[in-house]
Amino acid sequence: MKVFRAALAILVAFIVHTVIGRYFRGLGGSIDLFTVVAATFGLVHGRVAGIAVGTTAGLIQDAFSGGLFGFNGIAKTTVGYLSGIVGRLIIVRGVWARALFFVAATLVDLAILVAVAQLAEQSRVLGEGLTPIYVCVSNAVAGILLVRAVEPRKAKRSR
Amino acid sequence: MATTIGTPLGSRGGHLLFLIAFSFHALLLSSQVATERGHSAFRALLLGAMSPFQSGADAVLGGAGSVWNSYVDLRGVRAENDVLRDKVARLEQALWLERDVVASYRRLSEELQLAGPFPYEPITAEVIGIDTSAWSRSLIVNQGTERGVELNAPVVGARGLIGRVISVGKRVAQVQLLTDRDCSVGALLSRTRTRGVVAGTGDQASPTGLGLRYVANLEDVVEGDPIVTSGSDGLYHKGIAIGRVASVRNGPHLFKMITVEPAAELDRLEEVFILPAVPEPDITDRVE
Repeated sequence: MKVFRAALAILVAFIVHTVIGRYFRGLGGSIDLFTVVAATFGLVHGRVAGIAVGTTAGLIQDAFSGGLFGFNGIAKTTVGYLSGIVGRLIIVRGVWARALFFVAATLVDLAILVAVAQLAEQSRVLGEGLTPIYVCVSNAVAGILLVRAVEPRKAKRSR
Repeated sequence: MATTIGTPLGSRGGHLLFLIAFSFHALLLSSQVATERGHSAFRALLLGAMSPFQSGADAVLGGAGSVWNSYVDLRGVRAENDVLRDKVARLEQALWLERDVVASYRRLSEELQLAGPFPYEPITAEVIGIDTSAWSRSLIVNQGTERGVELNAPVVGARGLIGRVISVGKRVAQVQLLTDRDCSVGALLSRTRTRGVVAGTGDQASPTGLGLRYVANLEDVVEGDPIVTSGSDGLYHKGIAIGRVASVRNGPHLFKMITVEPAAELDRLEEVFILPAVPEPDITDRVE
């Protein structure tokens, strides 16, 4: 069930970025659902799940993004891994806590992308203007919703 | 109720896995940076695996978008149809007005061409009222002293004499028609130069409402003879067409009984031309 949900989440992210983004311009640059998926599964199911989902999601994102292959893979893998650690060490509950978590995950993702881009002498990693802020906000909203969708039912009942 | 979402850190398997994955990505990136376009086969494999989902989703969304666009277009067409219907109605009304304007233009052009030979500067006036009482025949026109209309000024139409101004206001004037029983015009038979007086009969039973009087039975008059103003009455300029002889027969006494067909269509007047009044003769010189 966990694998199915992960696959479904990645598929939805893929469709949103590749297909829906064609009909709603700007959507692709305002949200990074692959980061959200990696962070969510790391937070909810642990670092192993975060690494697996992050690696898969990142490689798929790289496959259609046209840049260096593994560029997003390494970022999402790291995000998934760190999310699993955070989920283990810190209690993340409530809307604001989760929003902060996903903002942090997004910033980590961006920081890794910038760092890798600097090392690989790649340009245009970040969008122009306020795009990173939009991505943080959008990812936070999407992450809160995704966590509610994939978190174990026991947790929901206890709430 | 607080809930902690997460899993125990457990063994070092997670960290090891991360190191493996991280190394894999680092190697992957390094190899590409060196060869710029390396690992295209792996990329192609992933793209090929994901492409069915992409195509399917694109087809579904594309179809939904097409249906939605069709719906939106249909609504737009309906609104546009309403607008166009309203526009067509307005244009039809405008077309009718334009047709009326064109008809008026043609009629006025014809009248102006016919009125052209007049050596006078006419005042164009529109007929705004018709007196149809049994005792008088007159028109009300929309020009008066403000435009220079004078009392007793001759009034002509496209084809000939209509009458004269018998009262005038600032922006209105009353025109006595030829057919009025009190109207008399000094006339001249163009062909024979025979003089007479054209007068209205005021008789509705009369076929023309106009007769030529005081033409001797001995004169040569035939049907169709043109009649013009003689200018001898001091009211009408000489040479204005009055009409034609409609019927003629000898009278019981000295004069013929002649009916005249007016040149102007007195019952279909819309515009008239008011000529300057004939100046009164200056008799001072004669006295002197």
